[in-house]
Amino acid sequence: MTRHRVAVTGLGLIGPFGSDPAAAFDRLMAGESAIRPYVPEPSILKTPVPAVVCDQFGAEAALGRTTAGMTDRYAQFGIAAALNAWRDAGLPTGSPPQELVRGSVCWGTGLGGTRAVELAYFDVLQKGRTRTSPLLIVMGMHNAAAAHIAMRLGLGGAATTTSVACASSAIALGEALRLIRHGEAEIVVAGGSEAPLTAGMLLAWDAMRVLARGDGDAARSACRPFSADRAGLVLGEGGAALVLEPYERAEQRGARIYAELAGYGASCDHHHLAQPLATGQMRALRAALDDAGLATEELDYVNSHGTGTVEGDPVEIDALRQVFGARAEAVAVSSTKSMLGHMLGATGAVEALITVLALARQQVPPTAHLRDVDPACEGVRHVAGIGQDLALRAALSSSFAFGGSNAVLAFRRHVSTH
Amino acid sequence: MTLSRLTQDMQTLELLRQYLQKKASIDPARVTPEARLEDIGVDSLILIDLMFELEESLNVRVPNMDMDSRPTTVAELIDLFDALSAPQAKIA
Repeated sequence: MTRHRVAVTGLGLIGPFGSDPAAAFDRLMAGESAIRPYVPEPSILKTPVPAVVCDQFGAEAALGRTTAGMTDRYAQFGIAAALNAWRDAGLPTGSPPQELVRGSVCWGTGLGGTRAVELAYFDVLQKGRTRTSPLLIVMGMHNAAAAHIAMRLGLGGAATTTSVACASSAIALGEALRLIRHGEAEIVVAGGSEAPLTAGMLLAWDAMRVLARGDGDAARSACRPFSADRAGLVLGEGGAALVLEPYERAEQRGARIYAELAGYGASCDHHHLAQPLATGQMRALRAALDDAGLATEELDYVNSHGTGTVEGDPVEIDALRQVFGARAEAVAVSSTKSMLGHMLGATGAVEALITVLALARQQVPPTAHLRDVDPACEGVRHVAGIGQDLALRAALSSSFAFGGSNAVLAFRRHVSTH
Repeated sequence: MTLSRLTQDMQTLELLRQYLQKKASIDPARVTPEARLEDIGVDSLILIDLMFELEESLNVRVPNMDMDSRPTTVAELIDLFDALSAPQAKIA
């Protein structure tokens, strides 16, 4: 059976630095944090919390009034990111679109339309309304983004949504890889989106005592992965999409190839809902390398999960040390969550996009605000403060979820033969 | 048709036009009594949302209806709501 290599031919981003992936990457290379003090509406929280907000995003301008009016913010990010990726891949966006029966969507979201649901219930429970909008069901459902993306782009193959907390969109990309590799789809829009900055969500995350604090200027450096003084994670909103297609199709149509999505590994710790385990992460890391046919010697960069929690970061570095052995010291590692926050179900897609650009540009974005590495997080080559130009052959993007689910994507640099 | 009924029709039509422009960017000039809902871009989802908004604005409730009795034109939609807006049909 033919095993197709998978080319990344389009990138779409909705993030705090706007929707231009290259421009956002430049700001990450400079170590610029998008984290700001934030107070959600309705304002239940007494003090602002550091968060990452896509305040440049306008749903009506991006999607039109009808779609904007019947979608949750998470779906709006997703549809906009997918359309951007599609255009970036040089593909037509006609209305109505040309049907692609072997075109698929693989999407990831942890919370789906939770914002729409929460605001509607707030109206009922607090404001005394007795009815909700009849659109609430189609706004709140987790597969709303995938459905809208398929409708906009005429994708007639499978449209799936993966909800595995913080590994949601990494798994979506992994499943997309398999669809292309095994010839079940000729093109896939894969990615994820999340809009978790609701009052209820922030209250719940705050109750877990994992949210970093900091007001004013201190908010910018609130997320400090691997740092001895790290103090928790920062929630963010956004979305990213990648267009994937077989190498031969991409080359036939003269598409720009950013990188190869070469491997995917998934595992479960089967241990604890919220406490990560190195052995579980190692299984996913090794599976991704094996799937890609990569030796540890060929791997130059890991875009880590690195949320900035006291418990999580050392476990991840321990797993990397054990998988890479003596080579670990030479593997560049960074956590872009130090600047973009943790976008939960979207984080895998956003960080996959960053990893692809790192390979395409031969540049590694940093872990911002990392001055004193926690001794428990030593043993890898931390890229700290600002980004570095590095020769990269292959890179991993790791996502580790509550529930113990782990997903790792392996990318290879694309070397043009033309 | 009485003058008051005509006024009521015009008010409902105006509400409809405002809603469809705001929610679905449908040109108010296309929202005429004889227009078929499908032709002006009102699909089943927009229709159900539109009926919800009209119910809220006019303080009435449309009973659940089968597919055959659903309004298919702007005029039928207006008639439906005007009948419900008659004083005896108003909910408390």
